[in-house]
Amino acid sequence: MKNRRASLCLASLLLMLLPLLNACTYTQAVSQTNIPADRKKVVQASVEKFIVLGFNFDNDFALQLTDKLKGACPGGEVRGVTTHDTRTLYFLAFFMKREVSAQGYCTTHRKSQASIEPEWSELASYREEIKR
Amino acid sequence: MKKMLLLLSGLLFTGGCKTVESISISQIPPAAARKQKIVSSASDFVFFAIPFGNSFVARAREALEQQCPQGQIEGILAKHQNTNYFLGFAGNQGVIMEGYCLNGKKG
Repeated sequence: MKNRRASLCLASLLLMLLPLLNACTYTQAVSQTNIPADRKKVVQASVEKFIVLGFNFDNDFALQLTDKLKGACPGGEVRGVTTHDTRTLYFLAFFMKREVSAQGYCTTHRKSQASIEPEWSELASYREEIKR
Repeated sequence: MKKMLLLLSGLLFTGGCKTVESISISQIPPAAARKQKIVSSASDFVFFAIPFGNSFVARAREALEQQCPQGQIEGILAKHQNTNYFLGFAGNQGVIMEGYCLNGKKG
């Protein structure tokens, strides 16, 4: 009787631990920029970092994401960017993976104006419309 | 009275508690262009802290794009939130996106 109870306890404990031993991915943050009408060419990039026992001394891995995304669309603009920041926990959360993925659309029909928002000409025409 | 309190506290624990995790807003178009508002949402189930998928972000974006197949979508608010039901044993993680469709036909 005692042995049966002990094995039942052990089995339920294992059942409870099972999810913790697997990798669970949680979304931490989501962001979305303006989506263009031209959505033919999809580009994506991701960066990741493994963290052991929660010790993490920098987050520089995220900085490479922009370069990777730019590299996927040479000579064009990347618009409609969705960023998805996730955290994956392994083996009782002793190991963790932080991953940031970005997906957008590479548009090449405009001149590259990385620092200038592309809708300024449209904005001006709307303003004229309002004045009328 | 005791039963009433018990019922109320039960409702409190079984109800869905929402927590905002992150929010982003993209550039908002001028007032004249804010004619067609579009909204989409998607979520994935979470049971005992085990998330069943993380594709909800892509699904929400696709649903938003389908509502504005030929136009630009601007002024996008993306709200990522978690909902917990029944003492947090079950829940979902989801995202709500809303924005304005410019020069687009609803399809």
